[in-house]
Amino acid sequence: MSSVNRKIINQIENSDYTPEIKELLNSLLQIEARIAEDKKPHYSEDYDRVIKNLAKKRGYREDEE
Amino acid sequence: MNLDYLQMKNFRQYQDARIEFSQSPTRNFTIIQGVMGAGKTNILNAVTWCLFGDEKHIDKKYKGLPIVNTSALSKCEGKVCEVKVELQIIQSDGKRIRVTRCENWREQNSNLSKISMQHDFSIMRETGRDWVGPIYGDDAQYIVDSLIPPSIEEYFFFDGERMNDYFRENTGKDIKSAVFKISQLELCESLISHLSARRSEYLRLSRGLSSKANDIKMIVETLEKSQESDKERLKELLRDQAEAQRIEKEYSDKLRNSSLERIESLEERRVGLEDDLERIADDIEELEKEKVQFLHKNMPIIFAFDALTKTKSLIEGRKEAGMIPPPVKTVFIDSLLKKGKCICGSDITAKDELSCTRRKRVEAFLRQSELSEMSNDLINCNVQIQAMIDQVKVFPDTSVQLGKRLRELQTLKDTKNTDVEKIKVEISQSNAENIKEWGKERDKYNEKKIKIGNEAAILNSTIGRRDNIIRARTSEFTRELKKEARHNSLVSLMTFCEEGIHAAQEVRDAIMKNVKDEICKKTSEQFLSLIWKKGTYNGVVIDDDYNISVPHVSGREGLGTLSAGERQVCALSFMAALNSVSGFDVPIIIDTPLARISNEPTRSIAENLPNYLPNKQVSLLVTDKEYTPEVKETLSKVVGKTYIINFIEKDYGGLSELVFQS
Repeated sequence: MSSVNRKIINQIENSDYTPEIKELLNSLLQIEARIAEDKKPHYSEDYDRVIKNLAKKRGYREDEE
Repeated sequence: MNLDYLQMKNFRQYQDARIEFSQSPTRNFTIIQGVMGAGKTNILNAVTWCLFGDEKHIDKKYKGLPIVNTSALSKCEGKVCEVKVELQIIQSDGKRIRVTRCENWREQNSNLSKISMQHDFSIMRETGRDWVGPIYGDDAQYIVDSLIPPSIEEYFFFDGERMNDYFRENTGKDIKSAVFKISQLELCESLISHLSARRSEYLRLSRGLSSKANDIKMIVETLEKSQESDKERLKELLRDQAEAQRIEKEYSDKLRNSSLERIESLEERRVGLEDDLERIADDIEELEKEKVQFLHKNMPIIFAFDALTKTKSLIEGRKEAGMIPPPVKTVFIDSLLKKGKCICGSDITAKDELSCTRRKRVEAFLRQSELSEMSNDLINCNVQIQAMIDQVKVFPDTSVQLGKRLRELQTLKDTKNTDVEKIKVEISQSNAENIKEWGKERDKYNEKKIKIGNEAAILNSTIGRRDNIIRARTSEFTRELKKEARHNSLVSLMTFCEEGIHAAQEVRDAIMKNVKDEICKKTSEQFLSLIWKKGTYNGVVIDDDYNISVPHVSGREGLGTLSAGERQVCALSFMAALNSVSGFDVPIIIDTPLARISNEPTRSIAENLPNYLPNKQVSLLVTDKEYTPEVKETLSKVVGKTYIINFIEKDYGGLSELVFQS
C-alpha cells in the first residue's frame, strides 16, 4: 500500500528513464515511506534486495558478487 | 477521500456525540459552530487522536486533564469507563474504513487511573459487500498512515489561529520545509542519501578486485607460443635423432657383415657394450633418485636428532619419577567437587571451616591433575620420537650402501666406455679402406645421435618446467577472471545506483520547481481575491530560497506591515495552495478559520474560499463571532450540514452536546 505522493509517482512514470530505473525509484520510495512512518532505522538490506533484483534485469549476476 | 462520521463517547466534553459529515459534491462544507471553549478544537483532537493516538491541537488548559469525560467517569462509580472515538472514512473508490481508538479509565478513592487494554486501536475495512477485520495494532496503523501520512496531517487538519502565528514567524526554511513535507520530497532526499550510501558500500567492496587477468593472459599466451615452438623443435630433434640412429645402425650392420672375422666380432661386441652402457645409465639414474628420496626422508630427523633425544630423556625422566601419567583423572576430581563429597566420604562443600580446608586440598589436587593431564600427550609424543630415532639408526649403513652401489656402477660404466673407445680405435686402424670409412661414418652418426639426444633432453626438461608454469599461470588467470567478474558485478551495481541517484535528483528538482511555482501562483491568486484591500498588493512571491514576500503596489515589501487578519488570509491562501498541489486526497478540517478577520472581509473570504478548495470535503469549526449571518448566508450555497455545540456544564472538564441543526 503506497503512501507516496502521487506527484512524485507521476513525475517518475512520465519521465524517459528505463523501466528498471523507474521501478528502482518506486520501490525505494515505498521503502522510504515505510521508514518514515515506522521510524525504521535499517534500510541497507531492503535497498540491497531491490537494487540486486532489478540489476539482474540489466545483466547483473548475483553469484559473481 | 471523505470523512463519513465521527462518533465520540466519553471523549473530553463529549459523552455521546456524533457528526455526520456532508457528502454532497456541491455542498461539500460541514459547519460545526460553538462559542469559545465549547469544545470545537477537541473535535479536531478527536480526529487526530483516533487516527494517530495523539491530540495534536490540545489546548494548554486541557493538557493536565484526563481524556475521559469526568462527568461520565463519576457516574461509573468506580467501574470502568470507556473512552471511544470512531471515525469512518469513505475512500475515493467508495469503500469504507472504520477506525476505532479506545481507552479504559476508572476512578477509585478520588484517583483516576488508565487501565491497559489488549487492543486499544483497530480498523474494519469494507471489501465488496463484506467488512474485514478487526485489524489491530501496527498493521492497522500502517493502513491509516498510508491514507494520511502523519508527517503531513498538519496541512489538512489545522487551527486557523495557530496558522496565523505559524505564518507570521515563518522563515524561508519553514516554507521550504512545508513544501518538502507536503510534496514528500523528504522521501526523495532520503532515497538519494541512502542510495549514495549503498553506492559507496559497493565501491568499498570492489576495492582490491581490479583484475590482472589481461596481464596474466598475455604472459600465458607468450608462454604457450614458446611451448608450441619448442615442441615443434623437439619433434624435429627426435626425427633427426632417429635418422642418425638409423644411419649409425646401417654402418654398424655393414661392419658386422664385413666378412672380416675380427671386425665382425669387434662390432658385435661394441653393440653389446652400447646396450650395457644404456642399462647402466638407467640404473645410475634410478639409484640417484633413490638416494635423494632417502636423504629427504631422513635429513630433518638427523638435524633435530639432539633435540629429539633430549626431549625423550626428559619425558622418560618424569615417567621414572612417577610424575606422569596422572595418578587420578581430572574428570574424577571435578565430579567430587561438584558433588561436594570426597572419595573418603567427607564433606567438601565449604559450608564450614573444616569442609573449606578439605575442599581447598581437593582443588589443589585438581590443579596438579590438570597439569599432569598434559603428560598424556607427552607420552604419545615419546612413542613418536622413538619411532623417528629407530628410523635414522639405519641411516649410516644405508647411506654407505647406496654410495657403494653408485660407485660400482660408475666404475662399470667407465670400463665399458674404455672398451668401446678401444674398439673404435681398432676399427679405424683397419687396413681395409671401406671398413675405415664405415667406422668413421658410424662414429659420426653416433656422436650426432648423442648430441641431438642431449639437446632433446634439455628441451624436454624446459618444456616440462614451462608446462608447470603455464598450469600455475592458467589457475591464476582463472582466479583473476573470477575477481574480474565480481568486480564487474559490483561496478554494474554502482552504475545502477549512480543512474538511480541522478534520476532521483532530477525528479526532486523538477517537483521542487513545479510545486514551488504552483504554490506561489495559487497562494498569490487566492490572496489577491480574498484580501479586502483591493489594488494594495501585487500578490505573494516565494523566491528560490523559499522566502515569502508580499510586495506592495508601490514596490515596497508589505509582509511586515500586514494586519493580523491580512496575515491570516495570506496563511489561509498558502495552506489552501499547499493542499491543492499536495497530491493527497485528504479532507480538510479548519478550526477558527476567520477568528482574526473583521466582519467586512469575512464575507469576501466566505465567497472565495470554496473556489480554492474545489472537490474537497471541508469542515469548519467556527465561533458564533466568525459565523455571522452574512458569512452564513454567503456560505449557504456550499454548506451541506451544520451542527451546534451546546454547553451543558462549564466546570472542570466540561460537558457539551452536539445538536444537528440542518
